[in-house]
Amino acid sequence: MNTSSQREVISVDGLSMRYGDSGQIIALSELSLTLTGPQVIGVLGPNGAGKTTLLEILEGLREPTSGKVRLFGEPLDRRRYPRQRIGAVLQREPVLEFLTVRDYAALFAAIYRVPGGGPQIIGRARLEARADTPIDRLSGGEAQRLFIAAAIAHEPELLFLDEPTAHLDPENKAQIGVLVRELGKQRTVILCTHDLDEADKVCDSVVFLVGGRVQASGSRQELLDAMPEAAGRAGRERRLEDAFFHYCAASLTAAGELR
Amino acid sequence: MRAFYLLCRMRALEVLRNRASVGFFLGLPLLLLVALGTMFADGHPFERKQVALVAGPHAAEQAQFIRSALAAYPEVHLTLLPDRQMALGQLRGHMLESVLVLGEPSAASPGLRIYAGKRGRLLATALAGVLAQGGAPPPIETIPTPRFGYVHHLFSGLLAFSILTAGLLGMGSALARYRQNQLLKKLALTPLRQSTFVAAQLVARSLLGLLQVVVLIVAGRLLFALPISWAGALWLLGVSGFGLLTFMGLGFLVATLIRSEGLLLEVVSALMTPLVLLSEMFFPLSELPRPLAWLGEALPSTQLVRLLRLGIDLDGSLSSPMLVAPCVSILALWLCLGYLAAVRSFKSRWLD
Repeated sequence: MNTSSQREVISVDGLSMRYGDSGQIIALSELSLTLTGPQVIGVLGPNGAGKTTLLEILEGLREPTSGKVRLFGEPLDRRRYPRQRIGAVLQREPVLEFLTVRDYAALFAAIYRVPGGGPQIIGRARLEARADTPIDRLSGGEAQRLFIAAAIAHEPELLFLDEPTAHLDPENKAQIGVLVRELGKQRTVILCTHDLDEADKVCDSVVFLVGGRVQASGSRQELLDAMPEAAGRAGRERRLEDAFFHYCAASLTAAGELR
Repeated sequence: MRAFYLLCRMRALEVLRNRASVGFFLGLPLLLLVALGTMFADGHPFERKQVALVAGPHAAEQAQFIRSALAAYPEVHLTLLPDRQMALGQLRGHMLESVLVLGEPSAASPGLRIYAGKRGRLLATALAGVLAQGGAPPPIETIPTPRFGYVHHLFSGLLAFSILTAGLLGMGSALARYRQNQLLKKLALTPLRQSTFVAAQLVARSLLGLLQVVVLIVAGRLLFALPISWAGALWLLGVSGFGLLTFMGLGFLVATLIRSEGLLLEVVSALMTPLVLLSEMFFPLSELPRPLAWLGEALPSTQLVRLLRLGIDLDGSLSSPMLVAPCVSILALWLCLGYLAAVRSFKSRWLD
């Protein structure tokens, strides 16, 4: 997952994460990866694959059970995590009904010390006309634009997006997809999703994660090219969905669930 | 019908599958029954007549006689007080119904004098009859008491209750809500320092709490003519700030230990019960069985009520440094322990 203009952003070696009193729940098992940027990297897998756990470790929110993580070429230290160099949009963003768009933008502009302040975030989210609207009254697409604009207000080098289009209608999903592609031109975007169709349109590279293990990773095109001729559905261009089922077949049931 | 059954089962399991909520759901009512049953085994505190006896060392024999004579009347609760001014202050505050003073400084002989408010004259007359020793009954002096006398006693309790609620609930439920709606996680992903977030919570909540105290002081002064001087008002604000910080620390601690806002509200309600009942907010500790009174002495709410009471100048007699020092020490101890435990717990568990 490395081309000549790319540089290493994240490197993971033997990463494992176990939960429960005796560590009986395995969320991630012996993950080893190197992710480069700028580009959009999709972390794809069904629910319970370990996507959010991986993201939380990379974001410095959780300590892994074992393994090494390097971020921007440095060993990840949760106490000295380079927060100013990353941005993140959560799967379920806090929707504070007592804050307007203006309040929310002002808060994050102040936290990130954005020179243009709140108006810069509002402008980037194209919500000038809705600046005094409480954020719980925004449509799903508007809210997501605001959350993304706040997360990139300080121009981070690395952006984590956890299921950013999970609750959006097709039109808003397409708009956010275009935005994510734009963002991936200047920075590394780690996009966690179980929506293979969305990933197909947006991601340059992908990591297939099933049952806490990496089943395959590489650029979208590399993965599609490496598939045997018979894989995929006859009569149409091969897609990421075909690659996912090809590489993850051993870990999935016929219905696409974890075995 | 099946859906109905499953919904009922789901609701029951929500409580029963959590050990802590089972404890609070089943254990707490039992605990309250035992505690309140024991506390009021001899009747409700207001069924008993509060009488104070002030006697110097030279009147020990007479004091012993009075105590023996009144021991036959369980409806009378006799308390020994060291100072005549303090006793009369409590009489004006409707915390007492009669005061028996042995050895009046102005009296020619160290005889007995009974003081009562307008509404305590009947009891005073009865006491005079009992204590007459076959001779002339002791003189009764009726002193003016404020029209809304019990408010003087109740006011500090109400202030303390507001502070307790603002601190424990205001801080605790907000943090639990922020954890539940992922705001804490969101902020943890930014360069914002945890200490900045916590300090902002403390300051905002303190200012709101103090605003509430100001409103109560003004209302008490205007509506009930409470004798609160400027110095008294400043004292009340200072003590309220101290109390708010202490109880916000405890609310902060509870919020770091309990994840769900719903359960937190139940736990805080459970904690409020002993903090209110055993704290002199509504009746004195001297009315409680000894172990409960000792427990009450150790509670921060008791010390807060006592400190607040000093700000209401009943007759200037209660502002004694001897009363202030132990209250401040116990409250400060709770403040330090609360924050130490909360910060420790918050650092390791705030995102769980």
